[in-house]
Amino acid sequence: MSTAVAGWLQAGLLVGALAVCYRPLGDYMAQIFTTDKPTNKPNKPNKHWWIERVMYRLIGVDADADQKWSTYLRGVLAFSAVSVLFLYGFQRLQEHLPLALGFPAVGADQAFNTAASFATNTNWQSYSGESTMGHLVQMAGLAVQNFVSAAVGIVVVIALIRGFIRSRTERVGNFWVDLTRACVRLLLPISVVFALVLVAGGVVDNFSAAHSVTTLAGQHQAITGGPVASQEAIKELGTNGGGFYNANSAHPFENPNPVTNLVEIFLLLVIGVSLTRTFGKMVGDKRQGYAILAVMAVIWVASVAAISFLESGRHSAAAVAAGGALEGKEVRFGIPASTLFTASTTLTSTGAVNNAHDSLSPLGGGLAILNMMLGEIAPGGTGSGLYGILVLAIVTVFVAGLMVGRTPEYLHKKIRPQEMKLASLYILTTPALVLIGTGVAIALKGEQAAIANPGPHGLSEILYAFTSTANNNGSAFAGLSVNTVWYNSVTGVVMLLGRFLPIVWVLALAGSLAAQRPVPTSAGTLATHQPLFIGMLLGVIILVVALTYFPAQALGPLAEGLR
Amino acid sequence: MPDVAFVALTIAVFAVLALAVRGVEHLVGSPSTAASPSTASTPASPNATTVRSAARVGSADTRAGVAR
Repeated sequence: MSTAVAGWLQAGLLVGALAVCYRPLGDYMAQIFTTDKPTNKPNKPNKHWWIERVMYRLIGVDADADQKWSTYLRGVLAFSAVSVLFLYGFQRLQEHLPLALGFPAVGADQAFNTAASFATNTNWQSYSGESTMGHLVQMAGLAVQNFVSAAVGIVVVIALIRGFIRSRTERVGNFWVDLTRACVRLLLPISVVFALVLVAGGVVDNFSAAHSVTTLAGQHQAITGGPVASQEAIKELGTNGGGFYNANSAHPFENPNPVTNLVEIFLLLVIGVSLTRTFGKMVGDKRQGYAILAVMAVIWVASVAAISFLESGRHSAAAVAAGGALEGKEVRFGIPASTLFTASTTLTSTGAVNNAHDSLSPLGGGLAILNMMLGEIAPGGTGSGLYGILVLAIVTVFVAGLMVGRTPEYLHKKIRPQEMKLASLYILTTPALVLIGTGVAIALKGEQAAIANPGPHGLSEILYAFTSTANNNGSAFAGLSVNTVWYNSVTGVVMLLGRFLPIVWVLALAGSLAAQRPVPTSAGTLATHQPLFIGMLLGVIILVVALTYFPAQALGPLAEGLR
Repeated sequence: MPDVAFVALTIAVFAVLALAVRGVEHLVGSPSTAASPSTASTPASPNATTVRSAARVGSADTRAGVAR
């Protein structure tokens, strides 16, 4: 079978699997977050599961209370702040904990960076997992954040959707109920099933410490086992991306063969894709979800095709001999499975990698950066992708309103100046973090030493690092020594602000929309489920978001690729 | 000492975020001042009926769980 056919077959299987799951999973998620009102009738089941009721009692939550958007937001922030501090302490006390495998406490700056990284769903790693973290910290610290940080993204978009469908209220749901349900009813069951699938596929799952083996060349090598499969499933499903091993999904213990590779790509896309169905179902017009899905699909297909084309090109003697740019790619996957993974991981907030992104062709690497710069909206991180594209949809109806002189509306809510202020803040926050961070890192002489490559590629390495951390992706370009106090501290702050400032704007937007009375559809209402709107939304994404970064792209990947 | 610094840094970042929350609270306001189609251009003149009905919706919603 030729490489091209194998590539098309894998992409076809992936799209087919996503299509099969789209409706049932999307409807199920809508049902999770759209439960009936509380009932005291004995013959009707309580809407809360018993395990959920136990958890609510433990944390002292009134599960039947509805929260104002600002209370909901404060819940998100308080929970995340405690998560960061808890994870920080966990790493600092590692040497005193069981299953530490003899590893010392993680350094203070690296522990801060890692805590911020996992609590923000970024999973940027300035450490090698197999030589830094013991099993307990991996399981009870990092993996727990893989679940709850993904759940936070989901509940934020659910609150935004409620903002569209509720009227004349400040209340957008109960954060603690939503968070618990997202974990208990959605992420945990799917993760358990797919952990078993991955074990069947050859992913390791044990409590082994390092085994010392002698290689064929006579060298000694320490091979560490661990609870990998159980973390691999949520790593992809929750679009987290933090690898148990330093090589991430290029490591044969994490991703042994093309089948597990395809399963992992499926997992990192499935919730983001299906949430568009949830959105359509909850707003009572499934066509709205299909329109958003269409935009996501166009971007995803274009990105996969473009990166595959660039990596299959024969731009050098080595590439001609190998049949493509194979440096940094696993031969057991080949180019199609590597580029499919690269496009999918950077268009979501996953950040897992099965090949070295630093070894991508200059323009291929530039596209990976561009995918993140778009705000990871195709389909994006769990929840964060959908709320990102919904903000852009609001901007689109505003632009359309300016064109025809009508008051902009979206899903029966008027887009007034205060909604546009919040949408504008959302759009400006991440580019500010990326570009200021990159600029400062380049300006500081001490931090320039961290760059392994001179010229445009060196700029691309820094640009990638700040794009990845500010967008909560977490993948690394490599070639940049980020385990320094400066990089650990600054990227840690960038991850926190890049995650939670947009959440502040989005939940305020939810509150602002929920407070409005719905407006009836009129002749001046833009139909937001038709191809015209899909095309306009694509245009806004390219013009408003991508062009913001064009100068930085021009000085880095474009300059290198066109040289 | 480094632990104190990084815990303080974490608290400082979340304090900034808390300030942002305060800022957007002023921007968003409350349902009683939210514009309806007929009052979109006069947000500073909520009528009594709107305020009362919004209060009713709010109190009812308080126990509405996660219902739509």
